[in-house]
Amino acid sequence: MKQLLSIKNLFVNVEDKEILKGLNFEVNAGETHVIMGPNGAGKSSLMNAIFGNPKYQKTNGQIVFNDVDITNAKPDEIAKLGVFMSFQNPVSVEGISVFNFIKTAKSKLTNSPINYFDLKDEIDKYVLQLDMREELSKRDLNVGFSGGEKKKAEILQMLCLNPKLAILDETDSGLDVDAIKVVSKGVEMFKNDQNAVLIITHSSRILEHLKVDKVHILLNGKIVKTGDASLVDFVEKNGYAGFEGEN
Amino acid sequence: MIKINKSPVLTSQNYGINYFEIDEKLLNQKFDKFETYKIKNDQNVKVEALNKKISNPMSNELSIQSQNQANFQKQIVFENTSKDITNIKFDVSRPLVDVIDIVVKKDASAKLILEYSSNENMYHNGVLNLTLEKDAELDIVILYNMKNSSNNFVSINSNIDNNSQLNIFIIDFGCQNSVQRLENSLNGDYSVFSLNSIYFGSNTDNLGINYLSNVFGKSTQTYMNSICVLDGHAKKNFVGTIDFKQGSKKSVGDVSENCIMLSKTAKSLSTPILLCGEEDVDGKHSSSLGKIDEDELFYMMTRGISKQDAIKLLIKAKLSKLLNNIFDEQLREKIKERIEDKLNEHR
Amino acid sequence: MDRKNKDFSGASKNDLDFLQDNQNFYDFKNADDYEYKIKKGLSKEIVEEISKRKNEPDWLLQIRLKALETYFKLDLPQWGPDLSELDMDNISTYVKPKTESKSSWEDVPEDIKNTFTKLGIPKAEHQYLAGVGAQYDSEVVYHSIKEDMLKRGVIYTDIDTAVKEYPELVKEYFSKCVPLSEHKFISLHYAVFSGGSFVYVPKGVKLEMPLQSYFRLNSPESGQFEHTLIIVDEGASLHFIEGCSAPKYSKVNLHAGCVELFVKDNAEMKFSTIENWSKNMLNLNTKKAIVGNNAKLDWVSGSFGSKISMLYPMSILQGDNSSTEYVGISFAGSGQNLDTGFKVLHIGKNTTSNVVSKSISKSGGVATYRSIVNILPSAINAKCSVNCDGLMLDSISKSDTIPVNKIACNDITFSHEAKVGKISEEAIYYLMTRGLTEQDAKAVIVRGFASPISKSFPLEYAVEMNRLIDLELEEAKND
Repeated sequence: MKQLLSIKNLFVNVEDKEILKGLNFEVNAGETHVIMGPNGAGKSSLMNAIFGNPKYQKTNGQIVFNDVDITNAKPDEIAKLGVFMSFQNPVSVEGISVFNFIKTAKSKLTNSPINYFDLKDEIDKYVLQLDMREELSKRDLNVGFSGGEKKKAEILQMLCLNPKLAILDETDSGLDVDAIKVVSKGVEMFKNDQNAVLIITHSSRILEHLKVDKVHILLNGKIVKTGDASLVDFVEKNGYAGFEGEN
Repeated sequence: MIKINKSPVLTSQNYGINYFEIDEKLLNQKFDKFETYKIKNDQNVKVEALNKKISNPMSNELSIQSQNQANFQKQIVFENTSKDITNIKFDVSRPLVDVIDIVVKKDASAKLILEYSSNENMYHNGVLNLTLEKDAELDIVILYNMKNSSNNFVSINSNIDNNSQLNIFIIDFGCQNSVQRLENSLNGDYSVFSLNSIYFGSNTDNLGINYLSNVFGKSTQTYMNSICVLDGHAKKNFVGTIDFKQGSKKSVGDVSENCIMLSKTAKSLSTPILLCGEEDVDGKHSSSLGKIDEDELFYMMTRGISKQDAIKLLIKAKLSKLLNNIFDEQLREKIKERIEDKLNEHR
Repeated sequence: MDRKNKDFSGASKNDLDFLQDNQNFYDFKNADDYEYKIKKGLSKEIVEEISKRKNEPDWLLQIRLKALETYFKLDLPQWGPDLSELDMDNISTYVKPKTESKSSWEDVPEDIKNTFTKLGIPKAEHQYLAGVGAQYDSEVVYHSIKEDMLKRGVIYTDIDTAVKEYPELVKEYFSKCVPLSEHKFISLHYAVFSGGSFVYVPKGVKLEMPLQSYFRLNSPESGQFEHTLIIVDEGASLHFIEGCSAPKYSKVNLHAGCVELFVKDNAEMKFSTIENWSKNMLNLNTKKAIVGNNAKLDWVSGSFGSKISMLYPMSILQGDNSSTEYVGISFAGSGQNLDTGFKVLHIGKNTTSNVVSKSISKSGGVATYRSIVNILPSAINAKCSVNCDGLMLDSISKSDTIPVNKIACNDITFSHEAKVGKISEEAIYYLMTRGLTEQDAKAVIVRGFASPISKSFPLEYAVEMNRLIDLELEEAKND
């Protein structure tokens, strides 16, 4: 199987504080991975570090995506390579509609103009499948969206932009039943054997509806354990305390 | 040098905010007959020669020119409600001094577009008088698209009577000296004045913007919302004033200016003034200038949009919110295209 | 709280308009009894006479004479309140009280001592101040600093003494922050200045308790021109408080003081003022500070008195990472025109300024917030936030906001917001449903409106400020 993402010995600082301390893992095409860990383990830092958020400084290590070293790449370059990241709290931008934003992003990613009607058909299809209100795509990007609407708009973007790797930040939504449904439905629609999904969460609830290939336990800035879906059940029963001391 | 476009109240002399200074020699122009314009109107709209002299509060010097040397003078009267858009296009291919007096009669409503554009560096001194009688409504869009070394001096005076509403949209793509003065009086009760304005400054453009709304009537509304985009070595001096006079009870007013600076060498001067002589009003003003939000940029970049494109996109998003107030879709699209060009020439 | 309730029940309040200012607390006169009062007017002879009486070094006399020359050259400002009623020919610029500066209240003449006792100065000194200076007309009559402050090398004295005892220090800093040609009234100040405080806080010395100087102008048709010069050396910290008041006379008095502050690298300073000049005073004061690397300067300003005030403290953020804050309130009542605000010049990188300004206008008073924010190209990553609120208590008053924002750097964050309006009817209604009368409700809301400012004062002064607000709001006219 084709290797998509490989992270080797990653160290990351946020405001001079070391958050990730030598992190390793790999994601292959066709797989769905989950990274679990308690609050403060470094989950958000990992996502932002992969995506080159300037607030997160990499002090050591390497990130390779699809044979390209993206350790020091800019966010848009990473996106163009086929990586997508969903946000828990995406920024809202007045004056640009969801539709126009997707159109702009898609044209940048594909480097070609987008046919209005093709995109409209595509979006309409997803809107129906995700049970979204039609007018949502006409509203300004995330402006005045409820939590559920934001989630749907992010998943809609994922489906339209069709990345090779989708990283989903589900750190906050572990308990929201509707959000879980949207995400699992979206992943189901998205997933094929050419692409991969990486879900980041601290709760096992979200995983009930998903077929997961690998589970990584992130603790104190490192992956302390990697296993199959049965690890989720272990966390469910024992919490993260059982992994203390493992390395 | 002469001083023009005096600020409604003076403040500290040291910052060049009280006046806009120009070289008097600029005014020495030869004004031939001006014929390169097109007027489109329907029968409800009377376009006639103007038979009175109208002063220009921008300065004595410019006023003398407006009164004695005008080469385009018209009075436009909207007697009834006109469904069609009245449109005047000026191809400023020679120096222009225009005086336009517009009256919207009682119960009438009208839509008007004034476009000034030049392919050569030109001189323009314009006076626009707007009178709204009772229960009248006027939507007006004014577009200045002058070649970069032009000199553009524009003075707009408006008077709004009871229950009437004036919506003005001004777009100025900037030029060497681009000076706007707008003085509005909300004389009537329940009258509304809404001004949206976008101005660009690039190269060594020098912009002087001076908007004033005098509030006399009760339960009136004033909104003045401006966005400025500066690049190169452009300089801009914005003064936006709401003056609540005693007796203007239950009136509301809001002035805001947002300035986007794309270069390190541009200079922004902004003075939003709030004058209040009435207790029972609600007045606000704000002025802001800042970097594009880092989180917004990062979000855009995770979707594959480069930093420069993201900045442009965010600026367009800001502008498009304002542009949605333009009633004519065709014109709106045309302006958006011009903005796109302008932003591309910037980068 | 008890006192306030008592005040509320003591008066009948049908309308706020009848609540005129009454300065009875501050408005008590002593006889115009002085050792020497210079003749009215302004001339080279008068300036030389002041200098001679002070036995000053020549360099200081030269500054005075140069300033006088500048004064005659400069025009009155073309903006702001009308100052035409000021006639320098009717003002006596120097009044020497009948005492030298003392370091014990026992040695201060009885009537002057009583004045400051009534104003609560010796009590405050005893309870929570590290040192006190008291000026009466043109000269400081009392100056004292706690023993342990002296031991730590803190200098706190009047400016005449400083000129004699620390000539090098004074010469190094005097007029280096506020140049003598900046405007007409600062030139006037430098020509005839007298009195004021000199403070030096040595490196690393942090004063836990504030120093306070109190300025009292008793003599009619005269002016007060004190010069305050403060140097807070590297890593040191200081809170300095000034208070001012005067009895009311029918003809105008003039106050044209000057404050120069030097806040060195890593130092911190807070400068608080409660000003309650009588309502025949023209208060044309100048205050300015130069702030060093990582240093911080806060201005806290309460303007209640005076007929006309023009006062715009200025911070020069010269050092990288320096910051400044201005919190100010002005309350303009009948016959008052208070034109106040703030100026800031951002020079250093990562500099920060924050402004919170509140103004209240009532009974025909005019309150104006006037400001200048100037951000230079060098001030990369500067942040500036300004917030102004004007409260109108009736429709014969005026509340204006005139801020100038000059920005020549694009890598900054700047925002200015201002509001003007009346007391919210919903708020009054809400309080009335809880049993307050309309007038009580209004007073509560006005005090709440001012609370961001009063909180910035030490507790004892917050109490004084609330008393001033109550005075302005509550008391019946007896003019």
